[in-house]
Amino acid sequence: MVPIARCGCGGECACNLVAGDNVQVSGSGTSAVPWVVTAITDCPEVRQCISGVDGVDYDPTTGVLDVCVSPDAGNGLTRDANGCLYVAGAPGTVITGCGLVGDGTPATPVTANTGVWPFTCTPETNGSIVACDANGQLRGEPPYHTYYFQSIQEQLFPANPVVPAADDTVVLTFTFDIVNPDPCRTMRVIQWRDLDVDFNLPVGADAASGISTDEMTHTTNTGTATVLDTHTQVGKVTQPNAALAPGAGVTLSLEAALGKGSGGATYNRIQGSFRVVLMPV
Amino acid sequence: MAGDGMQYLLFGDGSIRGVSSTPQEGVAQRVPDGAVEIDRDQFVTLAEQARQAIADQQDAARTADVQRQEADYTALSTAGLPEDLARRLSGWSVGG
Repeated sequence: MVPIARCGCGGECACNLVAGDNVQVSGSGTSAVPWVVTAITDCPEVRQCISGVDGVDYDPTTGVLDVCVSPDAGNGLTRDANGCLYVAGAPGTVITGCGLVGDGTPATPVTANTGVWPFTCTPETNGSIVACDANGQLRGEPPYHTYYFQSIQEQLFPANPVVPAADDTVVLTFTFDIVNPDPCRTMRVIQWRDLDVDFNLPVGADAASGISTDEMTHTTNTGTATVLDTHTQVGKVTQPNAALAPGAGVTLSLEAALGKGSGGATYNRIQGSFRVVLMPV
Repeated sequence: MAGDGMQYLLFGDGSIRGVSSTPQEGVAQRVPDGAVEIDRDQFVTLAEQARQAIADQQDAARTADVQRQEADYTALSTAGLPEDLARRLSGWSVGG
């Protein structure tokens, strides 16, 4: 309790002045000793009145306030050597590598460094694709490959059979199985097939040969002796399959057709060949 | 079919076929109807026999040609044709 002076009177005033929480009072209210009321800070009590929000760390025990820096990957905000907040690069500046241009500002945003489409067709329907693989790496379309296969087949006839008289009589069929080895692309199959038949033609004999129904050679012996092993290799280019899917197979065939046999004409050898090119569709 | 792309076939009529193809992984060439696959040694033996048979047939044809040409030449000469014409018409050239 603090004694209170009376103004102009003797003695003491009966009023009481009491210091409450966190307040200190001194003096008596006289001119010589005036009251001095002093606030006293109670730190533990004050700390309970403060709390952190998003982005702010607060410890009510120590009273330390700090900013919260995200530890998540990709965060560009960090601290410098003095513990101050720091963002690498000036705001709005992006350093680009190969294939990218721009600095990230509204005036020059970061974009892919693309070329000019030089074709009359539209890129929307004719452009190739750039895709992202499972490892996050950009990938272009698979490379274009071509493939070549061949099969040379020779059949000998020791029985020396007679050449059939009827045109385009198929005496044998050569086959060749191929598979599109490309893992990605459908292939157009282009084949060259040729046929070569060895005829023995007695005087006056006739013989013809061809592929399927296309007679391609016809020989008559107009001489005075047997013509032995006369042969001509002929062929043609065809497209047996316009779109062979990746991993799909096709059986190519070559029908050896003989005809016009007369005068004892015989054959002793037939050779067929396939030379096949697979080109991406 | 061997992995080297070779295939050897024997047919019911005695003919033989040799096939040389580009090897393709996982692709086997089919065996035609009426044929059986044989090994390389069998094929070589049969091919030698086939070529010999063909050569024998052709030798016989040549012999028959010569005999016929000589007979034609003799007949034409006997009929009074000049020798050059008889040879040209008959194809007979021996002794000319």
